[in-house]
Amino acid sequence: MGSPYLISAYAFTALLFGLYAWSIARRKARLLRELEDLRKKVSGQ
Amino acid sequence: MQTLRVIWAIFVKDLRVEWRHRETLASMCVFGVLVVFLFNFAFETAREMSLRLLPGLLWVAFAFAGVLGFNRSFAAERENASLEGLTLTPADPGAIYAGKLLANLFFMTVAEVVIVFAVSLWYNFSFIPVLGLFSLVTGLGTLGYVAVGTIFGAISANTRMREVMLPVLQFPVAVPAFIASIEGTTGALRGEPLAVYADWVNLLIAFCIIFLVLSYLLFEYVLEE
Amino acid sequence: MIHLGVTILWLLIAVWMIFFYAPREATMGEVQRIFYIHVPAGWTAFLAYFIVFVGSVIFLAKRSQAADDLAHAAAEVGFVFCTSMIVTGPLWAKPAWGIWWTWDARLTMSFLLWLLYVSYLMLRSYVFNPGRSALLAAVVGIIGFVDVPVNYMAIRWWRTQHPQPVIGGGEGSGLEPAMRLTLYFCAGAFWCLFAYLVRERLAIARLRRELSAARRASAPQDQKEDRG
Repeated sequence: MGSPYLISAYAFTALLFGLYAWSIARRKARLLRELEDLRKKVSGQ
Repeated sequence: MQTLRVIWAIFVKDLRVEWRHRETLASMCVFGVLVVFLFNFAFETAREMSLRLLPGLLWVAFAFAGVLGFNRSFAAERENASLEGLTLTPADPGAIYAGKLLANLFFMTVAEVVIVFAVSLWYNFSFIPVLGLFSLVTGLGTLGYVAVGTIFGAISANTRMREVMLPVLQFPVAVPAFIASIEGTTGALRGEPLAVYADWVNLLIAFCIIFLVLSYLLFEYVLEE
Repeated sequence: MIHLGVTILWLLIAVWMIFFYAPREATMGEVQRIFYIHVPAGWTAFLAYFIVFVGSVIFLAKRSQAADDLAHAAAEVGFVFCTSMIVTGPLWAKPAWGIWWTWDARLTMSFLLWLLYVSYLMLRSYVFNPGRSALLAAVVGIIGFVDVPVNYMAIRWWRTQHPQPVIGGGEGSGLEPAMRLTLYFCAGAFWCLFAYLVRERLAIARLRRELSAARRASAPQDQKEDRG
């Protein structure tokens, strides 16, 4: 399966979805962390 | 009756504002003529050649001139917060849309006459023998283009970078009107009978009906606070 | 978690099928295997825009926050699929047709869909007043969706070069059963991935709202403290 076109197409798609999934996971983790911080702050008072 | 009065009042108001400042029409016409002027350097202007290029040239000039006009149409209202005033009146939002549409149609028509005159002069092309069918196609294309331009102008007035936002919204949606207008104009300028490009004229009519009705119905949500 | 597991497993099987189960295409060779991501990505992109449309209509009619969230999520994820379609297309066209791009009906349509996604997402991030962005985006989503079939008619009459649809073209439309099975299997995998990403994106929208509500709830206390 030596075609550079084939490899580029699959590499691009894998990279694209990988990056998007990573960005979603990061956004979600940050929101969860901020929410947790806020909860701690509120209950600490 | 009430609706017609609102439409007329808004139309007259826009013309009066324009008469005092003369900003919209001046920028549309000058910009359109500049596009025609620049094209002159990009293409050979032999007559047979220009018959193939003229429709595209005309519609590119119309499209850019139109975007300038639609942008101004609501930007000024937004800056002076007069749109809020309009929405407080019991007027039907659809009527406000129709009034703005008529004003934009009027400005576009004036700009198009100026652009066509410049093209006719610089490219040595007489529009007079084909004026009837050319006006029919151009009129329908302009109506369709203004129908979406008016609602997108109102939308982009709410955004940062509205000068970019308007064409980004407008051009993809206006593509069918653009294609049909160019194909129809090509037929008209070649002096072909209407039957040859009737499909394109029908498509333009369909485009006008669909987007006039849709915009009329949706305009209420654009004005809503 | 189950959804993520199923998605990954499905994708892995799909990749295996593409490279080891589906036969090698006679004229185009290995490059034809781009087909299995290009076509399903396109289907998913069009499906996603349909969801944007439905979400927009429901939002305008019922003012349901969930519908607006769904439209926004579908637009963002659909844009990723559309980008995948529009990049893999030229990578297949170059070896198959000898050119990267041609303005034929389907290519123009797919580029147009991509532009509609761009304008929708740009609008969502550039509106001054966040309260209005949902309303304006819904209007744009509806107009954009109605524009798709009109555009399709116009562009179809204008020019058509693309190979006729290989699927659903009746008998003798030329797709081997093993290829067809692989294609459908890949489409299923993509839809599963799409659903997973949309769900995650919806969770983000919900968390964001929760966070700002929690901030608002705790803000008065902070102010009291400051004064004290």
